[in-house]
Amino acid sequence: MLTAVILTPLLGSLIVALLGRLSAKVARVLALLASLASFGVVIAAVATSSGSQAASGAAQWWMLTMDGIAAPLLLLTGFLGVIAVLAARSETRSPAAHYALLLAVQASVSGVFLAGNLVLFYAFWEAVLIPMYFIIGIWGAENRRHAAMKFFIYTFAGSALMLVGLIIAMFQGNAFAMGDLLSTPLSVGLQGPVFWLLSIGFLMKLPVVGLHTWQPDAYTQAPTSGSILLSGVLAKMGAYALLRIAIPIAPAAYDAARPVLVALGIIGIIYGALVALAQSDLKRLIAYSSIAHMGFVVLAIGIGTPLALGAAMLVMISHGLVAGMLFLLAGQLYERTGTYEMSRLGGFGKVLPAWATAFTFAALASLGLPGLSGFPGELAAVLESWGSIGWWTALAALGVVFSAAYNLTAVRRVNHGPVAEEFAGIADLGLAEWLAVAPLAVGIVVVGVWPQFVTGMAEPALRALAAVTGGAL
Amino acid sequence: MSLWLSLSPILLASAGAILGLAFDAFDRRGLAIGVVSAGLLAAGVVSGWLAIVYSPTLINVTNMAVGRGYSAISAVVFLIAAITLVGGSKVLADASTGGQVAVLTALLAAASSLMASTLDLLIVIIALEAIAMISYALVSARRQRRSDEAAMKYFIQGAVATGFALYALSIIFGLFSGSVFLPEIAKSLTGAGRPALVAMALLMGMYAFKLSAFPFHSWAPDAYETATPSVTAFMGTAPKLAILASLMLVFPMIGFSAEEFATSGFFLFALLATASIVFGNFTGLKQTSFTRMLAYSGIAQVGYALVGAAAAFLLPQRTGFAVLVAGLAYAVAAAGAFMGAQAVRSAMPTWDGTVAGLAGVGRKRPALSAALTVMMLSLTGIPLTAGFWGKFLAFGDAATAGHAWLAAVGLLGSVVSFGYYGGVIRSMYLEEPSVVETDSAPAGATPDMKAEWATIVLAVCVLAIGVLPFFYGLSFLSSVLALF
Repeated sequence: MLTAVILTPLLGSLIVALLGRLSAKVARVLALLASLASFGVVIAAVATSSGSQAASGAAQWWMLTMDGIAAPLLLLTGFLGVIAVLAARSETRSPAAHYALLLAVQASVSGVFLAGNLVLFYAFWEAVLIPMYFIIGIWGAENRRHAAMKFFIYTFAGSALMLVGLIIAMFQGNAFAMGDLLSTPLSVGLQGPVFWLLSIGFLMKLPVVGLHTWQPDAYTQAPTSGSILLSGVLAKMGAYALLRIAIPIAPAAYDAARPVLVALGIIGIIYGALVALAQSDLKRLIAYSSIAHMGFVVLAIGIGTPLALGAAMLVMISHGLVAGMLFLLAGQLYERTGTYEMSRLGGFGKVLPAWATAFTFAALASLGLPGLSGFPGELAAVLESWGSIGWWTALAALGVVFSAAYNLTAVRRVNHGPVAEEFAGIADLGLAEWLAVAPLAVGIVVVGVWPQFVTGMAEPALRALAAVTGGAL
Repeated sequence: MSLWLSLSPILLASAGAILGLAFDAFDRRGLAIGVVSAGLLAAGVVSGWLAIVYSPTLINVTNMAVGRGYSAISAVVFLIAAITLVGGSKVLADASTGGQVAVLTALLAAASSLMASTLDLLIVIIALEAIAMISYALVSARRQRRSDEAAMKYFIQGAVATGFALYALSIIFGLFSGSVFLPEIAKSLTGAGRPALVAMALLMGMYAFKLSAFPFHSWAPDAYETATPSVTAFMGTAPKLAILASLMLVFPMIGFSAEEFATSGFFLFALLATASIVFGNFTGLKQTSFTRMLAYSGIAQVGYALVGAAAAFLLPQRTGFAVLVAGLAYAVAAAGAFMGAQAVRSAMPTWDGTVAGLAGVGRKRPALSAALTVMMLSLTGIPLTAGFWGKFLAFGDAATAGHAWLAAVGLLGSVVSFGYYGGVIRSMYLEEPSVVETDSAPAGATPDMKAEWATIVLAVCVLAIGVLPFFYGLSFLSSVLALF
């Protein structure tokens, strides 16, 4: 069953690559069917899995397991896979190859979340890079080649350090199966170097401030479908790996590193929000807001109480949905106007009422309006911080205020004010575009009013993990 | 096992070579190449069969070992020779020296096979000399001024390296052992002290030269760049695997892994590996020519394998496996990369040989570009390709030996290497060919399908070695590559 989660998009990718050459329409339909089938398989796998127990023991290379931390992220991956295919529908440059690569990304990201041992994990982690490199490099905006190369070199540098860490853990510490990491941590002497080597690779992917310089380029130069996957699921791989590998394998080193993680989180929240506030390019604004949201994830992981870890999960899922929706809407606007430059946009509340409503909705979700998905996670993260780091929490709360500022500014600049003449006659969202936007909105509301949907799945795994984390700093 | 059976692969390859020489003398060049290829293929198949069926067996008359790793390395060498010869047959059939090149290729393969299986130090040196002599001839076979110069450079430097080796042999034979048979030498070297260390360093120098490790590398880029790519595809790759195998045989077997030599051996090799990785990668980054870039990156690739060789001094129980996998991965992927260069050259006669000149190949020759991409990813060490396992095992050994810094050096080198390997992928797929070039390209350029297929076959091998261990483990590889 778990193998099918990887195999379905992979087979879909091959089929689309071969048959999709017939015509763009065939490619589109096949890709949509493949992504829907993959999502269906993920749902079935999550529904039938026993949940918390991860496989352990026998030294097999091909070994898949799904625990509670992975399950919601797999659902997110399957869901955003469908959305990304829908977002790419107007792609005219070799659409078959584009869809095939999107499905390949989906297959390899699913592999990262399902890998049952460290070698397989690393293999999938690197495998994600290759299709993504081509998606950015071939279908991106003007500066795509530079952005693709930067994306690859940065994340490959991070993963090379990570591989050094994994090699030390495996060959000197005998760590191998995911399920055994928590019960048999490394010797204390190895923990420090291993934790940091791994974490640099993981934090590069999120990314945290300092390791983030590839991110705005990659997110803005990538085509819409690529941005959705980059921000929606690829960024989550880093946080997942922190929770699933770095902390269990080196709990003592994690404990020592907690203040650093908290500081990185708070810096990310404030830096991301302030730089987002200064952007005039809509897509770049969304990219920097992602740094702020990922800051909450790192902060919550640094706090480490069971509730904080749940908050980290919630922020991850919420950000996947919200950033996906924002990038999707920005892409739809770009198809109509040919620009992301907010000074040239404006007044779309009148011209594109449906689009403008959806954009306002997504912006409100991004700033954390109660009832939408951004709220429960960030609230829980801030509350748990208060119990752990006291007044320093105020800095994180300040970030929430900034996020209201940049989100609402974006809404004001794009939706209100006079319409530029050149954009007066453009058409509002069509049915196919609605089909991509609406499910995201539904997801955002569902996670907003029913956060237990996510935390319930993850709870057993997070409680087991919290036995080695948490407490006052 | 009978003497004849143990010698049969080398005899088959040589028989093909002699028949080929006869056909070539009557100017039947195509036939000559075909016969030589058939001989190599037969030798490869027989070696593969010997590797799977027989455990390592010493043949007393020849001091050769046959079976498992000894035959597996030979099988790889013969098969790569056969594939590159078939792939290059169109170019060779058009060149006046084509028949001779084919014959020399077969002899080079036979010498490499001997190298990987002999337990006699004198024969090691003779085989190395044979490899070197044939390589000079292959480099100059293109009959151009530059290739003559490259061959001369190679020849003179090679003579110095041979001097090292003979000096080492005279120390070992004269001062201590009175024998050239490796297990005999081992007995006499215990407690030998400093003179034995000098011999080890000299032997290492010779191996380093033949492997083109830094600082013994300077002949390689000229030689590889000026030779015909399909020739370099064999000459610059598979013999290195045989030499690595010999290294992993001779050093431990002579007794250099004994406690008194182990630390010095580790540091000598670690230094050689680090220098090769750093130098190869940074100079590779500066190259514009595709084959020259491959030559420099080959220095770094040998460095990765030598990381495993260094660690093997401290871990005698795992001798060689990581080095052999790294060498195998390099040989197959680099052979494919040079073969790909051959295929590109015939598909685009106007190609100037630069990496930037590959722009637009991705669209023109999709299958060939995909195969070349696989080679580049494997050489970088990305998982699901053969190159990953080579690096993973070699660096893993370094970590097990307690020297994780060597693994870190190697992996950071890999990151740098994507700068130029990735540059190839970038050129093929992301860059648009300049307008002038597309206009001036002759419409009737016929792609060399043989070269293209050879590249694709090698790419499939790279993927198979990369993917299958995830399902079946590494036990097949480790049993078939076992040396002792």
